[in-house]
Amino acid sequence: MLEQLSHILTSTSKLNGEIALFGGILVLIFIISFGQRNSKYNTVLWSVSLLTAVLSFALIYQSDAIDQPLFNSLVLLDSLSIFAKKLVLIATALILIHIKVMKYDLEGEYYIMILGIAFSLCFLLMASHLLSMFVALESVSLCSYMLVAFNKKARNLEAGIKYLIFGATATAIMLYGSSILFGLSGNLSFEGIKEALASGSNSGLLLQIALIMVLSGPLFKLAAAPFHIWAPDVYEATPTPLISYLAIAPKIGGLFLIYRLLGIVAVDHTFVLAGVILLSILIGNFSALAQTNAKRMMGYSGIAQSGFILVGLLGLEITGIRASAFYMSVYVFMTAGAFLMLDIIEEHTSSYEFKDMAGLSQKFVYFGIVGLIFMVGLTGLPPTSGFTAKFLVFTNVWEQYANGGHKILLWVLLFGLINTAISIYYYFKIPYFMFLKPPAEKAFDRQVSVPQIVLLTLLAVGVIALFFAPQWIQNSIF
Amino acid sequence: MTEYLLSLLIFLPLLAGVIVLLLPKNLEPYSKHLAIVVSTFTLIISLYVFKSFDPALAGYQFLEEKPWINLDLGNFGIFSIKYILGVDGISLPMVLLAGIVLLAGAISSTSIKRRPKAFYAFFLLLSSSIYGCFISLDFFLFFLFFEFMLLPMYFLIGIWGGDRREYAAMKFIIYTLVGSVFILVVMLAMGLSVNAPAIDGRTVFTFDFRLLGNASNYISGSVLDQSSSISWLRWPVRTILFILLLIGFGIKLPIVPFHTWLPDAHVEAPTSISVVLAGILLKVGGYGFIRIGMGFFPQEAIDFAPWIAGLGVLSIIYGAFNAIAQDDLKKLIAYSSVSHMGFVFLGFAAFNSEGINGGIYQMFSHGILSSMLFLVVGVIYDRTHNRLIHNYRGLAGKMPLYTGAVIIAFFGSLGLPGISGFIGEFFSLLGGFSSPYLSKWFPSIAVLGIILSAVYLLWALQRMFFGKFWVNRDLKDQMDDLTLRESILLYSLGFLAILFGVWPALLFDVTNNGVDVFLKTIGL
Amino acid sequence: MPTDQVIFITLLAYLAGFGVLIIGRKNLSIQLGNVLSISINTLGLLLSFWLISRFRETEIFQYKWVKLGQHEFNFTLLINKLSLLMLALVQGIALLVQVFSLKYMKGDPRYLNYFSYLNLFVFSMLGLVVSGNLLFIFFFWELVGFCSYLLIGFWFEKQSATNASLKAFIVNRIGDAGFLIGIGLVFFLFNTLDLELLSNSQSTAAPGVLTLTALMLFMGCVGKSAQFPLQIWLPDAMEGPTPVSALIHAATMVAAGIFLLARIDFLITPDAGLIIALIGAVTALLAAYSAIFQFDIKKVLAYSTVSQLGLMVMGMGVGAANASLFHLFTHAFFKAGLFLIAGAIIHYAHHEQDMRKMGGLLYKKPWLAFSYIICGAALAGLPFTSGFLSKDALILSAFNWSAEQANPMTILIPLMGIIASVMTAFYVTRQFVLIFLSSSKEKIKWSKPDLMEWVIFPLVICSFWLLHSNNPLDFVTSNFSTHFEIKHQENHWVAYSLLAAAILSIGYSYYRFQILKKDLPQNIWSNLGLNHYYLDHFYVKRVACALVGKFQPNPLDNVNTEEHISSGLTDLVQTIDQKAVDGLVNKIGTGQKNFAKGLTQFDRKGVDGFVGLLTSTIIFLGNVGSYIDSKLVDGLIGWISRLVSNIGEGLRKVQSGRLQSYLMVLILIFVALLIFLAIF
Repeated sequence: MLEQLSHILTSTSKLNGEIALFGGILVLIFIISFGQRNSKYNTVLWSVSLLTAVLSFALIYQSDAIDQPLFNSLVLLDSLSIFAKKLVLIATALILIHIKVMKYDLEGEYYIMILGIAFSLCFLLMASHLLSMFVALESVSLCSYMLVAFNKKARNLEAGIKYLIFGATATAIMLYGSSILFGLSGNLSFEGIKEALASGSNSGLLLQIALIMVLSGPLFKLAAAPFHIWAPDVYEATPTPLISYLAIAPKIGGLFLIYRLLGIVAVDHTFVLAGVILLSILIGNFSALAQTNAKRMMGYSGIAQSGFILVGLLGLEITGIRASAFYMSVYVFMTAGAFLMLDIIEEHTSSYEFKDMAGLSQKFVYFGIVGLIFMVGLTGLPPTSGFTAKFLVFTNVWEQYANGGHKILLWVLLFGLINTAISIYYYFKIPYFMFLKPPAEKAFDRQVSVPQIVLLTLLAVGVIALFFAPQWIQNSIF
Repeated sequence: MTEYLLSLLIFLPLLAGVIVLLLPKNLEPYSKHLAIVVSTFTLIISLYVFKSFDPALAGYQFLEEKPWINLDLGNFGIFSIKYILGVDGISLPMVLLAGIVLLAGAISSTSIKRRPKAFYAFFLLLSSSIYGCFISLDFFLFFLFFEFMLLPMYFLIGIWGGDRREYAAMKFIIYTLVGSVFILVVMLAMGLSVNAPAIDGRTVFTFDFRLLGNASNYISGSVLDQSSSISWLRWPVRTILFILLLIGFGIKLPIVPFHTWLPDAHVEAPTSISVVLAGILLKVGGYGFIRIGMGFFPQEAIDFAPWIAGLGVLSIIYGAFNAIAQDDLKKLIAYSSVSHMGFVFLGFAAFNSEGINGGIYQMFSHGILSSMLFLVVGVIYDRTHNRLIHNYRGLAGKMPLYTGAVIIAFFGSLGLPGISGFIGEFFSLLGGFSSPYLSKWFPSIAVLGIILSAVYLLWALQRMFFGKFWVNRDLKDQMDDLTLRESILLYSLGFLAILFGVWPALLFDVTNNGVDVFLKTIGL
Repeated sequence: MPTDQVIFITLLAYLAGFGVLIIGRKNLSIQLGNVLSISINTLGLLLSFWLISRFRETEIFQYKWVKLGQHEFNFTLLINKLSLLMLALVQGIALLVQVFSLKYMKGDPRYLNYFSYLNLFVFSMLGLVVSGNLLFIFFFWELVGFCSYLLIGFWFEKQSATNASLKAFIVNRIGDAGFLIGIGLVFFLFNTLDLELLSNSQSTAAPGVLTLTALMLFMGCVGKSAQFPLQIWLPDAMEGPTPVSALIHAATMVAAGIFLLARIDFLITPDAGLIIALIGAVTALLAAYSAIFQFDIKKVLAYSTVSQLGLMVMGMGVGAANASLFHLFTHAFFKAGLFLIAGAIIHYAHHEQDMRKMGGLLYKKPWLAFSYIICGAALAGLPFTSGFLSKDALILSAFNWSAEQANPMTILIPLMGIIASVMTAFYVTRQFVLIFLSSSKEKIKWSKPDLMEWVIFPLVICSFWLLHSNNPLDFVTSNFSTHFEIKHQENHWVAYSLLAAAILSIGYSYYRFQILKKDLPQNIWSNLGLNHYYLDHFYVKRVACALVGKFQPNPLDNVNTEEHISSGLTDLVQTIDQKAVDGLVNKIGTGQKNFAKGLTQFDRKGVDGFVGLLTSTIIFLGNVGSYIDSKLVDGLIGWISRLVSNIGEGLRKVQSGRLQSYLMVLILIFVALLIFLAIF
């Protein structure tokens, strides 16, 4: 008993970052429960959240990877999870700043949800046990549903329910898959399943099925096909900073979870993954082509981007996951930037429709140029790190192919890259309207505020800087 | 100082572009002066480089080499991307051409009145990336500039273009992006197949042109190994990659049937951008094809020589026929570009000294002459905002100076000896005739192109410039002769065209050695 | 002074003349321009005489121009007798033409342009004749064509002039294309373009290939020397100023094709020679026939030029190069003379060119008539003229050549030449009668010759036999033959019968047109001749229309704008480009969009629709539930709460407490538990 306790305690001591997050959530609850609702109320909530995120980031930054399981092999703290957690917290901080610079007046519960997602994600990223994985994934999901539906408007509610139904379905499928895995291996911890499956002589097909089923949870988080349906509606309905967060953070969790799961089920996943990738890119790209609303477009684009991110996992080489991790990091900056840009545009035009953006950059030249960088990055053109990211993941594909991989890999390579060329059509709708179209009749009376521009510039600089020095992230992943 | 000359070519315009972007509103009119000054400077630098280049030495000169990105690929090894600049006999003419055309473009841009600041910022960014394309010796770096060119061009066409500018700009960017995606595939494949000397016992993958060109550097057994027999869709992968390059650079050049973006882009682009587009941007395709397509896939290129030549000949004839049918002078000239760039492919496909030198010369000469041609169109468009040939007649009587320039430009492009166009076409054809890889039919059919070019150019000349003076009464009747700026621009380009037409050794002395080295490297 | 320097000085002088005159066309005074232009020409002519006088042996000079790989492309000067002859000939005629033009072009608004073009022309022509390299021959060959283009279309306000210049250039280009292919084949076969090297090298290629090469090179000659089937441009070229016709389209440029054949005669295989001779003979015959029916004074001369060039080509084909050159030489003088006479007449007649409206000029301009008789006699090949000598040599050579051939049909070739010569005599007479004679008997006024007439005299003198030969009837002993040996020919009876036939035809012609005053009948045969077998019509109306479609002048405008009324091949290609190639791209583009739309629709209506149904069902159920909840459950709870509220104040507070409070308690307990665990 005591041994167990001391194990728990030592384990706990490794999780300073998570504890800080938890503490922050507590503080928020205290303030919401007992705090005075004066003019500073919101600011205080916001500051506490940001402080928590920053503090937690600092703590995680200092922590070292230990390759032995904690909490009775419920969680595993390796360098990959540390990197991913840092990414989650950076995203959290960015979103919080986004909320501030756009002067959102959010209720306190929102902050709890945001930190809650971060908190659950941290555990999800460390999960090395089907149970801990499930619990963490579910708590991410729950927080996300609430974040979407909290606004209590009919549209939000509808989107929330849609989100929920899909989430629940995906979870159910995953749960079923997990139980098959458990049935096959008699084990719940990843390590145990891996060993049991490797030594056992299980039917490949069954394993394949189990793998597909179990992947449905993280695929849902990634909004990858075929678990993508929720994305456009949810993207359109949810307040911009929140959807920005939901477009980034759960994706991080989903990506690394897939990596883990692929690692434990030792079957050839190339076809499954290639299928998911091709489908996501196809659906995301082509559906985005027809959109007239920027947020919906971003929803579909997110589907396609998930496909691209997953490309790095083909073959499950360390190079590949590093490429995917790099893509993910760049994606954080690009997506946060893109949503911030859309938010600023909305502030001036009260619309996310492309056509209302006409001529915007003529008034705000600098804003237009900085905004352009994100679209260029999402397309994947140099000199932005979006290009480097695509370059790296496809490097992985070629390497896999060259080392005797499936012929389908070359299809993924060609198809994926051609889709890059197609994607410029919809990504460039924003600069197209902002730069090329003459301004509409109504004048833009407001200015882009300095904090907005500063944040936008920082993100843009990040997107560009990572092109010129990708080693900053690349060499810090492992 | 001189060791950073090539970097200056990239960074001077880049810096100037950023400065223009940041200029306060009241200093906005000075952006054009800055652009002209910077373009003059880069021209001087490229002239200096051209002059002090020693053609007797093999290999690249003015080399600059800095490590840039060293990407750890885990167990694969290390990606080494370097910042390498240098010029040889093949790229140097293009650098000089870029200097000339960009200055001409900058000067002719002065008629742009709308949002000059943004215009010049984009223009300077474009200049920077054009130079970058021609002097980078690292595939990654090359690709960076190659892709980056699209963005400024997109806006330059899309904002300052004609009525259907948005359509043209979008078409341009998607079309050329598809092409560059193909090139990206090849770049990936090559980068992962070539070994540089190992660091700390780890494999180093490189994009260095100097290493990519050497067959012995390819990892034996890898997909791109010369002896590799790995196939995809029943084609050897090397061949597929070569075809990708052929299409990728063919779109840029452009080669029929990948040319349809060009007439639209040209017709919609403002004069100075058409000048840059036809004058130098298209040459990136030709340059890339010879440097990368033929340089790194020599065996495939030789196997495909009849196809390359065939595409070239098709472009020559097809472009010419289309040009004959045009009533819009600018469209006519756009199609004539398609036709003339066909000679480049024909010359290259010959795989001999005459052909390749001729192809390079053709690129250079087309750069100067097409700049002139588009300026010629610009002159008339500035005056009446109409380019339809049937609206004009007998301009020669009213605008003799203009007509003189037109005659130089038109006759230059139809290959009159004494003007540079002849040299390029002649040696491309001669190469085609003496090439062991090509049937004599290819150059023989291509020769028809010189008849057709006489037909469309002289027919246009006759319809617009000869006869009694008349301008459609719906148009403003302000047919003044050339202004001082226009005459200086047109006649100095005309002077260059004639200079390079009678003294081709100016350029051939430089290219000849480069081509010799090139042919030796690919084993001919 | 070395020969090459002299040549370069000459060339540069003309080039400078061109440059100065074109740049100073507005500012330079006309007198200064005249002096400049004429003194350059005089200087050049004197230099060429000097070169001839000191000529010892063939000289070759090479200047590095371009080196590509192993091959050098040098600028080669090949100075032999032929070059020097042409050098003097071209400049001599050019000088006369320039002096003639002083008066002829007086008052033209672009007077100095004209002279600058002439200078450029002479420069190019001289360049052509001194080049010893096919590349440079082609180089100057094209430049000459360019000058011809400029000069034919010199009066560009005249629609017909610009049409003619366009036609001339494009037709020439067709020939040049062949020439270029020929050069390519030569380079392929011999690896050099240098004539000196070529003449010494042997090719192992099949004779068929060599024949093809020679014929391709001959294509250049077909274009430039207006041979069948490309001869149609030369009559139209008469739209240019008449002195230009004299210089370029009679004496010099059109002879460049003959010159080219002379330069490459070692490349001409027997088979190629046969075809060349045939084409020459056919051209001579066709053009001579056409010349008979013309009414335009210059057209007669133009067709006659084509015909004479045909004879020369025939000579080249049968291997009588020197005889051809001799005819080229003599022809240059008398034809230039005839053209200048025509020019003077046109000038006098205020640009009237229809011979039917002329007549009686003998009395007003007797000097011209006298000159015409001499030059015309030379053209007709009458004895005591230069033309007799050269034509004699040509026809005899051709005849003897055919006699040697195995194929008896080859006799047709000299026969056609003979018939053409007989026709020549006929139309010369007709022209003389129409222009100079008339019914009205006035008195001949021997007024002092004016400048233009003075200029013609040297040409008239050169048309006599005297300068060419001591014996007016023997070409073998002619001066020309001492330098360019023309072999003695047998079968002189042919020449005498030809002469007899020619004199007969002159007599008949005079009888018919002067005595009977009966013009030629209007029938299919005359129309065929007048319109030159509708060849031009065929090219312009059929070939060109098939190519670019038909255009019709727009009658609504005063000015001649044209309307596209039918479409040709190029329009088809354009349609293909727009509809098929570009259409395909757009189709892919729109197809992509449609696909995208469909995909979105499916996403929304299909999958999403199902989910939407599910969602709305759930919301409906929720609403139902909430109704039940609010009315039933809540009502029940309300009832209970009302019940409970009665219990006490404290409890009430807890009951209405917020979710957060509960959460709070839960968490506090959890924390306490943790702390507890940490302590123990």
